[in-house]
Amino acid sequence: MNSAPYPIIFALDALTGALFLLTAIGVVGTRQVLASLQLFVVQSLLLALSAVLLGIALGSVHLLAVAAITIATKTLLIPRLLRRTVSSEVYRTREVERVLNIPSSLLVAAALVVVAYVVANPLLRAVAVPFAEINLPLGLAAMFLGVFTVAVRREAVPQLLGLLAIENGVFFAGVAIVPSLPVIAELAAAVDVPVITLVVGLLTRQIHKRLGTTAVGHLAALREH
Amino acid sequence: MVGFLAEPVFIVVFLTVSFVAGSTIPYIVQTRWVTPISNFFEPSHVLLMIAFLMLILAEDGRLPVDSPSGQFELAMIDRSRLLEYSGRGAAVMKWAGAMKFLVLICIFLNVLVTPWGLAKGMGLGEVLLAVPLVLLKVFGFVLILVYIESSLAKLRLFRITEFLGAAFVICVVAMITRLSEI
Repeated sequence: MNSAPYPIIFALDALTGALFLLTAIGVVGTRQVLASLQLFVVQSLLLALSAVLLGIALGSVHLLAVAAITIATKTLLIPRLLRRTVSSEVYRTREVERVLNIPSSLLVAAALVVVAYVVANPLLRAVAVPFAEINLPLGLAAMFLGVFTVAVRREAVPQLLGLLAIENGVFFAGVAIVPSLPVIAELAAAVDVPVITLVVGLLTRQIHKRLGTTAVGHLAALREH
Repeated sequence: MVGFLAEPVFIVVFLTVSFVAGSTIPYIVQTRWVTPISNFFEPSHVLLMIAFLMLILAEDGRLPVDSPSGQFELAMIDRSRLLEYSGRGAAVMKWAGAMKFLVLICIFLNVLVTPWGLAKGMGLGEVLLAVPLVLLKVFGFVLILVYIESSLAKLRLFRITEFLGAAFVICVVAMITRLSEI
């Protein structure tokens, strides 16, 4: 099945990847805004765990730094920022109206996972890195699911979480393909992402103040008076 | 009673178990998970365990899907069927439900979660030792089930399909991860 010299770490990384994918599907499927935020935190923790495992296996200090930065920004800073900027009323809402209902969007999610594996197969033949066969398809799948989340959900905060899930997926694939990823690249992303979160959070707060709702999916069409 | 919704997902779960392990015989399947021990943490195995647990909750009328101990007749699906029986008929119905539950738990525990402790041979001693071990496992699992049930609220009727749909998707993902590893 695999020729990795670290069978236990390989298996643990596979387990982390499976749970990572599960949280990505959860972000697509949950109704409550707060639950999807918590799922995102769990997903970021799993990303950090995978980076730590790969860092131990490949002897790369960069990956440990990536894990530390991920934990600091994505599990501590971003949830706190989102909770502070957006009023707690938003987190209590349930998203009743979505573009697709939940069972069909879960089926589309399953199809997206298949697509991710199909796409990743020829790529895997090109790169011969030990852990890529787990992390690349699962990262691609999480990326697709993030895009799908942005497309299918109408509330502002879950849409932002979809964007952040895309970023998580890219990093999940990236830590395996480029184990010596310069810390400076990760630092740049670590500064970028909280700023994006802050901007979207403040925007959502203003929208909520003006309209009393954050269902930004309804704001797509112009209306003439 | 929601079993008719769970049945297709059950077929897919069993199909996936035998597909992942390459056999339909429980003894071969359970050795597949532990040789080597790193197979136990395989993504397909973990996802299968989660899907099977969700199905056990649904199939037996447990709390997130059904409310077996409720007094409110609209909220209990499975138990309200029993209200039409009395005496021996009711006893047989309840017995059937308990037997189904036990069979499902035994498959779940002995094949998927703890693939140890079944009798390895035909000897009387081994078989007699396996019985209390299985009962012990069932007892432990029932405690976990109690914890799950006491920490969840019942889903509304129309969300049961979402619950089962999630189980189905997890199962399909387990199969896909298995397919791509070979």
